[in-house]
Amino acid sequence: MDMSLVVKGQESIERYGYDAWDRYRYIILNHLCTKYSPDKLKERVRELYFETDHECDTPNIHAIAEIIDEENQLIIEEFYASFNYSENDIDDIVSQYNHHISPVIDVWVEESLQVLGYPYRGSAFNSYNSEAPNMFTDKAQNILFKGFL
Amino acid sequence: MSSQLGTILDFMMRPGVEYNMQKRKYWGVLFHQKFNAPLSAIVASAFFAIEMENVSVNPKGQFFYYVEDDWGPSPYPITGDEILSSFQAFSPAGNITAPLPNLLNHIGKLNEDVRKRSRIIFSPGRIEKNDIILKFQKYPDGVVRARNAKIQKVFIPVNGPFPADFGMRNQFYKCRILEQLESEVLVEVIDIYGKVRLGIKHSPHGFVPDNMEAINDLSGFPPELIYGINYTEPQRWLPFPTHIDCMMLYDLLKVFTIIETKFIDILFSYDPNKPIVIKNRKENPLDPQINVIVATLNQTFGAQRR
Repeated sequence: MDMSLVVKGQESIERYGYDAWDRYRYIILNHLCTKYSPDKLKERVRELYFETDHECDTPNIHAIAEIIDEENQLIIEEFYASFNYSENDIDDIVSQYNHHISPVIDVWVEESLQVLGYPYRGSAFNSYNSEAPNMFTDKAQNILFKGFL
Repeated sequence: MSSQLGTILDFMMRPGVEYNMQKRKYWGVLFHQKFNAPLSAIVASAFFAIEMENVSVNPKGQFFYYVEDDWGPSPYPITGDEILSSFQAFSPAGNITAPLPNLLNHIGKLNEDVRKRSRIIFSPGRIEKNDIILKFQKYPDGVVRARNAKIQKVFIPVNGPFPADFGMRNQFYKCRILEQLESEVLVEVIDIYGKVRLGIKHSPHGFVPDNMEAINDLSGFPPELIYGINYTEPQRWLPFPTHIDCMMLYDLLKVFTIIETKFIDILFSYDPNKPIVIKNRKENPLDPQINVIVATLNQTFGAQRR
């Protein structure tokens, strides 16, 4: 068994007790890449920004968010599997994660990219509200009056 | 037409001609009157607009147009109202007051190739992992304490860049945690939080994501190329770093030299993709007011070219 998981399990018991849902809270706060651990999220976004294949274009936030989401799910599955939780229980917890966390990872990635000052494509804000400003467009120069071009 | 006004308009025209080089039909000064307001003279391109308020004389000439009169059609594809509404739509997050002659002098000294590959950057810096933002208060016993019960010890550097009324104002400070115990935390006061600086940056390696964090932080900039320190009460957050093409800003700043202004106010917004506004600071009420609005650059892509 992965010893780091044992350590995580011990920590989770000390802090939050034996209950699976308390452990879920523990793992979100301490080990997943989410807004609750902003430094970890920012560092991972920065790594993925340069690592992910963006087909020679400005990196897309969905591509980065998708990888973070998959990694988070894998951590949850491995963590609970190491304590012999049944597959049904693990599925329950992962679906809970998918319901609450997965949909907002795009937004968190976008916020991290804004803090880092990197340009990106696929603003989550824009897809919900076309009036919302896109903090970093992928054009070379912002244009004040398009009629002049 | 007074000769002074004619000279000012000539100065306004210069960037208008240079940045409308492709479409010569846009060469011109548009005179615009809104309701009963005094006349405004406007020069515009895709990237900027220059407005001079309160033009008292209606000049006539080959490149001067007055839409509501019979002098000729508007030189521009959009109306004066549309151009001026961009000034009204602008909502500033803060401003920097910069000495115009110094700024022009520093940019002017740069080799033209360097100037073309330089940017003007407005940046609030960033907060490191161990930094916290605190307010302080001077208590009746004369001791300055943080307004946070956990912060018991505060280390204030003797030569820190702080005003004499440290702790008296309703000001946030950026602090670094030196020691963290169970019941108390020792912090060192590093800087005032809410400070936006203006820097001139030539990056021989270009402006790419690899070096953007250091550029946005203005780290490694020579002190003489950093201007204007703006202390603002931080509200929700500080503005994001904003980039402007150095060459274009230089061309626009030259417009202000005709009215012999010493200081200019540069207003910026939270959104780095929103334009910035530059105004001259009037030294007497009769001085002309010139307002410039200019589009920003996307941080990691090339500059506009004439």
